[in-house]
Amino acid sequence: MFQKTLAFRIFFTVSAILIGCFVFLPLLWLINTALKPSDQTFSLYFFFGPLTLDNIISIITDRTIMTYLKNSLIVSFLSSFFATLVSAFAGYSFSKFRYKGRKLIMGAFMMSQAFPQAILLLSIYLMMQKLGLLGSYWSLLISYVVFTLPVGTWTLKGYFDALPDSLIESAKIDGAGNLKIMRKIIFPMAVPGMISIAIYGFVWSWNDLLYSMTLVTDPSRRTLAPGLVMTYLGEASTNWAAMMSASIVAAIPVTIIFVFLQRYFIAGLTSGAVKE
Amino acid sequence: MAKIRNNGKLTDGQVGFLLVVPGIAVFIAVILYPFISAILMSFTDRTLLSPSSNGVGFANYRKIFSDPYFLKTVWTTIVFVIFSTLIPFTLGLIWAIVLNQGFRGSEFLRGVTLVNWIIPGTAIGFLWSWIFNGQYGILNGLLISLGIIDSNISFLGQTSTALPCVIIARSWQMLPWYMAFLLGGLQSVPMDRIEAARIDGANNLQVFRYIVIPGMRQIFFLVLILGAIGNLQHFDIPWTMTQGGPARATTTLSLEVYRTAFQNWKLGQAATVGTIWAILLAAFSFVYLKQVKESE
Amino acid sequence: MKKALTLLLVSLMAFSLIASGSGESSAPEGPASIVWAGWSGEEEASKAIFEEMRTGFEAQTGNKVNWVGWTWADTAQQLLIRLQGGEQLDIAQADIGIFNTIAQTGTLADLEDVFGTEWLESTFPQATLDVGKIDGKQVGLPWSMAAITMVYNPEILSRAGWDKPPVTVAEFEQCMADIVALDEGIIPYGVSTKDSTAAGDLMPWLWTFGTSIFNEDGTVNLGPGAAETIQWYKDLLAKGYIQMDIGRGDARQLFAQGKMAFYDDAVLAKGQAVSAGVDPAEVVNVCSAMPRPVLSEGDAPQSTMWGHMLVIFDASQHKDIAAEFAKYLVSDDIALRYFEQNGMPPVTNSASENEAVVNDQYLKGFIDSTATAKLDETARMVNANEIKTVIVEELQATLLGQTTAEQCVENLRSRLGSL
Repeated sequence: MFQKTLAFRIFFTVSAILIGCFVFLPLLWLINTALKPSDQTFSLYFFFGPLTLDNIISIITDRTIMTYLKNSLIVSFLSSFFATLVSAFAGYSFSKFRYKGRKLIMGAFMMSQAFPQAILLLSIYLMMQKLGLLGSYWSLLISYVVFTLPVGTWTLKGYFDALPDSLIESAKIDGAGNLKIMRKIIFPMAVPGMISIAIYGFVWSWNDLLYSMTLVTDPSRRTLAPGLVMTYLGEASTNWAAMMSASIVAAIPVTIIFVFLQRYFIAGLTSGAVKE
Repeated sequence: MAKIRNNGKLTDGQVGFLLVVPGIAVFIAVILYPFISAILMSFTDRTLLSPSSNGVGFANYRKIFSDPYFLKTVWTTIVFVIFSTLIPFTLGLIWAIVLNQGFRGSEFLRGVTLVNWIIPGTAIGFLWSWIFNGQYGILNGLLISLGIIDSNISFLGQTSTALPCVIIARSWQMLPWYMAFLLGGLQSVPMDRIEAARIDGANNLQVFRYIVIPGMRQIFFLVLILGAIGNLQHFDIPWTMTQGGPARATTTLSLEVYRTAFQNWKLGQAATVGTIWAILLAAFSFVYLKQVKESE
Repeated sequence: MKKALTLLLVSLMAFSLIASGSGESSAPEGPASIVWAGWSGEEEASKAIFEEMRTGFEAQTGNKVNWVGWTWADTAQQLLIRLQGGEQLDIAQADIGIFNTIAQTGTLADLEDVFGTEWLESTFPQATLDVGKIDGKQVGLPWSMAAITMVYNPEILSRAGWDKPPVTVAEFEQCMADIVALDEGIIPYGVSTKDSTAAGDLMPWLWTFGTSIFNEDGTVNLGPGAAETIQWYKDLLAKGYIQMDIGRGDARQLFAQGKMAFYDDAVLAKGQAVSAGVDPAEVVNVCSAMPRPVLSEGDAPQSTMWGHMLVIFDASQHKDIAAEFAKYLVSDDIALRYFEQNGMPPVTNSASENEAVVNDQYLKGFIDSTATAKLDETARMVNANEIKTVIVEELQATLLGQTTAEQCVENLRSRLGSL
């Protein structure tokens, strides 16, 4: 893309070093802390000093933390999946169909992403209580859609808008039904967009503290963010080393999944179907 | 799904509407109904202490508009949203350009960069408040041992530095996300047009200015909007780092709403802040929608 | 790519089956199962003993106790939400700070009805019982109580030439000067300057300087001593005796690392020292309680009440079992075990006179201060958090040089007056 002129080489090296330091030094510090014996947490040595795997091992063998991790993975996966699916249907509908009330619904979706989520919580809590869903994965799955639906619908509408109507018309002439057109033509082309929305939704759910803590009180269904905070941030003491170790351990499986998914979403974009 | 299968009997409009039904159902349940009840709540003195409440008309609104700190909170929010969107966006773009060069290990770096983004926000808040800590902070330790400063600087304890520190931490968290999107965008820029431009003698800057940027306009727009909304709603990092202090220097609307509702128990007043916030954003969204329409 | 996507979809579906499957298998709730809420059962340091309390009671009575926990900081908020939702809630742990807030919901049972006045009066000292009373109604059962007072590190003080903690404010300042003169990078005094603990720490100093935030009738007081106190804070900051951006957590950490000489804390101070590697039996050598310095010798040293209480909810279907459980928790065996494991001072007449408790050097300083301890001024106010937020914001503005001490008092007066 860029010619390797002297100016570009300088730009490349300087940026690589500066941004690399910014991105990786704090991360290395996190790992460094996770590897220090807990009575050394606050000494300022950087890897050169006593190191131990005790913290990491105690996290991996801690069944409670592993349960939180499992719960977080399940809830985040499913909620981002549902949200993406629902957003894709809605986005496609807004983009390619015309019916009464469409504009109104679109406007309402758009507006809603703006409202502070902390305020929505109370009504959601009371509703979940009435539905008897409190404490279940469902309560989180449904309410996490709140994070993704508006943004997802609008983003995917943008993707579908970019698809030429002629594509659909010609498929119709060939006798394909709406469902077939969606499944065979439209959705595959929007995969990159869907994956980015799924990732967006995943991380919102993954990071959520307030909803999870309020809607799910049973430790066997608790997710990671509240789990970490509750375990390591106490009234009397804070266990930084364990919290850092747990964060690192928790980040590993998701990083692997993302590295895997990222290929698809970049490959999807490069295929050019969306752009032209 | 089953209904859609019988599309022979349905008009396109009906199919379109059916498609949006699941969205509407969830929307009504978790957004619209809570949203409307929040707006209604803003006209009451509802607290978290009791389920009963009385109507108070516009008293909450009057109270907020007469609060000398409210405008400052809005201003802090704007500063926070703008900088914690633009900084990681710019750095993420540069980082994407670097990683797009495809040197040895770039794939690995790309994966590892994502780790920042997956660490729970609370842990990131603690990590950075430790880095910036004025007593045993890592940055102070580093600067002192390099001889740059003589005594510790209380980064989070001063109004002038607290907000920049929070923005830096948030930028660190979000940089990978911008990088991932922008890298995808970079790879979708048509190579043949770049090559054509090269033949016409275009240099790197011209290629970037006239081909890469226009080619990525759609993705720029998308990540900036998503990023700004995320920052507007963002809560964890400033809350863990500074609780909105010192002297309100890092109190954004999101923190203010949370504090009013869940620490001062004043749901009615919190809903009012939320409603004002929604109105401000509606104006913003309106501009955005208009823009989208014009570009169509 | 389509294959991979299908694979992804299938695995997600599989996940969803697992999710819905396990979603339905929630624990069956028998008639005699109660819900106990709080925070200490979540914390690493007290998780084990809370589990022991629960299972011990279950084994003894056959009833079931379900624990529901949150972080300490979120407990009040979560209890309130749960109360509005009407989910089962029988008994909860509440500290002095949030106790009144919960009581204001009007959902707490009158414990004189539940336990009988006779049992209460014969089990607890009257002064302790009074802390659990609101508007004359006994709604809190004392569980663990002491004072928040000043804590000092005897080793640092002796290096600075002090074998006894300072008694007057003037001595205190001299002592801090001596500590700075040591030039070991020690922060003399870790008074809280951020989050709501900063307001809590300011109050006993205001009392020391002869004023208070509120009058008895709830109107704003802030007499002449207020500006004096805040100016004193400013002077301490200017001399480097105190620092900005210190909260209770930071102070505990620095103190445990031997980088701080004084700060304000409750009995819980021990926890951080122990987790930093200090032998529990040796804690008193590096962490001792002391009376807060006074203006002139002979004045009563000021301190704030600290404690945990148990509350029972009126709507509970099993108030009798909840009461039985509460009695079990304050019984000598369990209370002394809790003391042994976590240093939580027992409050019943019998347990607090136990030799192990009386002879505990560490605890002694905190118990001594309890005699003159007062309730946090906001402890009986519904909007305690809001008041504290205002105090902290104005205090910080002054310490950061945006306002003078006099302006600070004026701002506080107008903002607190209009709440």
